Amino acid sequence: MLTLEKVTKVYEHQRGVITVLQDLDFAVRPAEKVAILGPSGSGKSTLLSLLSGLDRPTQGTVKLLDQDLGAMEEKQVTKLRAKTIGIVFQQFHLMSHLTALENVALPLRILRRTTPYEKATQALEQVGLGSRLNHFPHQMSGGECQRTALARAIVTEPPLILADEPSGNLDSQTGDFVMKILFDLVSQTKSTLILVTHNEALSQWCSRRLLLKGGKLHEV
Amino acid sequence: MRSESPLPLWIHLAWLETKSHRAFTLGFVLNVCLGMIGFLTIDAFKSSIQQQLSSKSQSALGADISIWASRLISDDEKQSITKTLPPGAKVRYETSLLSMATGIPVTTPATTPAPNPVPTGSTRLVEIRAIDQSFPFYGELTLKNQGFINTGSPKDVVDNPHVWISPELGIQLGLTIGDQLKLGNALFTITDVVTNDPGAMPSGLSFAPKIFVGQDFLKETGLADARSRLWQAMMVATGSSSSQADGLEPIVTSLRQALGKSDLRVRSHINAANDRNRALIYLNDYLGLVALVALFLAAVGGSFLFQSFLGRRITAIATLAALGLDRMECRLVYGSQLVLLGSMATVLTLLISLGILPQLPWLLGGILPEGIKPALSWQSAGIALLLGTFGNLLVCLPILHRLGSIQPSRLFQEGQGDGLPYSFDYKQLWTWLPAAAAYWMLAIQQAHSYRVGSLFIGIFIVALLIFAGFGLLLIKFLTVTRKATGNLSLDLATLALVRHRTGTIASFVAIGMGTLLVNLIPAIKNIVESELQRPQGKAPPSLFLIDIQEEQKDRLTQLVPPLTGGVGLENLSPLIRARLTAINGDTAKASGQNLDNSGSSTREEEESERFVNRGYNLSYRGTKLASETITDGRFFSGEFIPDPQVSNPAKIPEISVEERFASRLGLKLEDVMSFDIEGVQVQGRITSLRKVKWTSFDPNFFVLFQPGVLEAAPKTYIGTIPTLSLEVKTQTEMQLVREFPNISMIDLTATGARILALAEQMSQALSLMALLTLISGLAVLFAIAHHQAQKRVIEITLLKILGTDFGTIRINVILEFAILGFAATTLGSLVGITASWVLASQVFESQWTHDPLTPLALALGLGTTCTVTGFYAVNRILKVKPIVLLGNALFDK
Repeated sequence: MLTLEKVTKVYEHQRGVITVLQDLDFAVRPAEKVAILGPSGSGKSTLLSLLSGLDRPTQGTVKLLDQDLGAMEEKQVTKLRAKTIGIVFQQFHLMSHLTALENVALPLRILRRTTPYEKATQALEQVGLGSRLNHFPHQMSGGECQRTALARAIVTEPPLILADEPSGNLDSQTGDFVMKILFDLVSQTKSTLILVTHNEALSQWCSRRLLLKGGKLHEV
Repeated sequence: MRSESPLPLWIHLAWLETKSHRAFTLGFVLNVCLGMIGFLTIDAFKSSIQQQLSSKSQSALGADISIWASRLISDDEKQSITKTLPPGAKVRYETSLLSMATGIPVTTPATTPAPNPVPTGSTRLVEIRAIDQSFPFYGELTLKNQGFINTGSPKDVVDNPHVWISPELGIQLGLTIGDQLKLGNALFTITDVVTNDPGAMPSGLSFAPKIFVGQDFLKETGLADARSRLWQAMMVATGSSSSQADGLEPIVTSLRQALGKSDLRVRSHINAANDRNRALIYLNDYLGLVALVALFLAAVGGSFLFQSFLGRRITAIATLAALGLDRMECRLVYGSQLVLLGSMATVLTLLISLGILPQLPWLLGGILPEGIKPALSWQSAGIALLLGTFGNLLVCLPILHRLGSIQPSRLFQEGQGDGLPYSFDYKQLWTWLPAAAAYWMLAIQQAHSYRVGSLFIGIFIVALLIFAGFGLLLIKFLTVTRKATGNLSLDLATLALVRHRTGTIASFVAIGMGTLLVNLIPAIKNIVESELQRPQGKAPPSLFLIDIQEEQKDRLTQLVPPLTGGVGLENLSPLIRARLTAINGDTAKASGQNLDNSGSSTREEEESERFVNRGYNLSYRGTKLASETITDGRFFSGEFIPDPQVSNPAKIPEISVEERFASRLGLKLEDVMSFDIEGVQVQGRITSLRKVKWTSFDPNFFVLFQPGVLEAAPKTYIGTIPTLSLEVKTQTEMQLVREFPNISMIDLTATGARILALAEQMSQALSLMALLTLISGLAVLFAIAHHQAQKRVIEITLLKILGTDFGTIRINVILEFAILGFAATTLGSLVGITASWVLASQVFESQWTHDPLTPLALALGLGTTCTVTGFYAVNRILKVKPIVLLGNALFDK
């Protein structure tokens, strides 16, 4: 499904060179649920950027569905990401001027899928927001915004879902509720889930737990 | 250890905001700087032209103030006037009258005599100007042999029976230096020829060749007695400190008060200049308006940039509020930042202006009108300092006020988005008032007119309301039409416009206003040029012929073409002298008795005084000239057919009146004017008002009768002979003098050439100013569009992350900017056309010329600028990786 081979990521700053990831090897099987743990500054953001094809490694290869992202044009990566990856951000990143329905329908429209609004409505109903279709982000609570973001991530039925601390901005009760929805949806669609978190309890929801430390992943 | 700052916290925070956001600081400072440089450059041009006008007008009048009457001024009056003048004021006297002069050649004839010599003892109508030792206080008369004549140097004619003559009189009478002239009872020797005379009597009597004589010798002619029709003037030099417009005004007012209802008229050299330098005054008015436009564009751009900046700082502001800074302190932080930024921009502006302005005449070569040397004055620098430092604060006051509505609680809420919270509230309207009042005062200061300044502000306010209204309509239209399309790019574009309602309206208003203002520049330029140019681009005539008798006109018409090689006599017009006796039966109104000489303080009132109680030249014709346009009513219905029922008002002859003349006398359509023509009363009913282009040099008249009324009245004719070469003109002049000794000929060649050159130079200067403002307008539009695109970084990046292909994103942004840009620029051009009509008819009182291509080109050009700017900005965003653009905001740890 997703493979990282000897991946190294180095950032050059005015004050010197920082190696965030060092010769990292990592493979995820289809329908696997993987939690990546790590303290702040351990390189989780960098890893997510590489996994989603938003950034390129300094060395090594990142393969998604056997395609080397580093060898592809940015446009091709963008297309591949649209088809195969759903991303859930900690800060939701919903379009502020679009309604919940329009936000969720957007990936379908980008992929030129048929009946985008019907499918988006279904996805929002799946996350319990059937009554909030025409609400704007600023008219919804944090939990509702994150559920909208979940619906947007799964609406295209991508084989891989990257979730970046999806309950990080929510209270524990709402966070648990959102996490339950996320795992239910992933199970239903048999998607692969990579969950990045620093919350030990949340990581327990996954079948496999990895700790990012010293630029490498360690099984927990 | 770091020491505590001695400055209040809000100033320190303002400095940190300025220092930390260098891109914004630079953009804001450059924007304000651009507008201020435009303002200062134009203001410097304006000041230079004003200085030039003032200097020219002093030279033209040869004094600061003239007090004159169409009679000799009595000794009592002279004493009374002298007492009213400030200490140190100097007085000289000038007398002017029309008389016949007889030439007596005494010099040896040239070895090669002219083919058609002027007969000995020829007589011509001349204007005699009697001067004294002090002539002129300012400027100089240029003589062929004696050179420049300044004050104190005309001893030649003052102490001797000598005269200086206009060159055309020499040609017309066949005289040269050394020959003699008989004026009345006295004989004079011609000692020089006037090659350049910048002046004229305040009466405006100048349609005859001039002869300069000494005051004492005029008495010997016997022409200047109490029964003579003459003009006498007391010419006053007040002293250097009060010779400018502001200093003269109180003196003119006190003189008028002292003279009361006397028929003595008082005019300063500034008033006199208004008649002679109309073209330069037009340019000056134009520049005042352009300066306002440049400043307004900078204000629009500056407030837009600041609003965008605060929109991005909203979380920081909420945090400051959460930490305990109260609303006023928050406003103080950003108000101080504005003052700081304005000060930086002002310093930069002044430095650049000091460096560039003195070099402009050299940089622009012959484009600037002669004598115009723009330089930064203390007054302009002071205004710039005040405007630059505090102007932004006033303009951004509504934005600063809105800072108070930012709640710290937003820090606990998600999805609040960027941008200042905005909801329209009538109670907040006061926040616009200081900027509006300041701009209004500035407009009045620049235009030197309450009316023009107020009209300008009125146009701006109406335009703002129109743009805001149409912005709302655009949103409504897009809301309705959006549902019909299935195109993602178009949908995203319209959604962005519809849902970012406030931003869309603000951008629409800003782009629209920018377009409107840029549109005004070529429109005003057209108005000014149309004032300057002759109809159909014709050159001014070479000769102006007056005093053609009835029995001479046919012969003259036949004689001219063979002399000139086919060029005929043009615009032959009858001229009937008359006196206005009543308006709608009111004799007081016609005699000006209801106008208080002491109370006239405006230019309009002064002009009213000049128009009443004087003789008029009437004429009649059935067709209007190319230099005339009917502005109200209709031209004559045909020939007048008398009705035996004299009392029938519908059968009063029709007259057409020049509109400015009508305005000064308060005349309107259907008013009846009564004239006395050699003792015969003639009435005329106003059926049309005419706009006359006086620079055409066509024989134009204030009052024109329909044919069939004045044909039997005693009259002479005037006419023109078009452009001729010097040789042909001289030969024609000599031949016509020989054939028609009574006809006076005014040589307009030099005047015409000066006007053409001035028109050409002014046209180039106007084009340059238009170009400067256009560049400034484009820069502001670019800033607005670029900031709009920057505000969309997160949305564009998200679209990219979600897999939208670059083409779709580009088309989305292009469509968004194209819809916004072209809608706003099209409306801007349409409002610009309307505003130019208002300016033409109300400010310049000029004919509105419609040029559809320029507004169309500007709408397309500026709309394209918006679209291209959006495209450029989005392309930059697309080239950058999302992780770089969003940084930690993407995967927040």
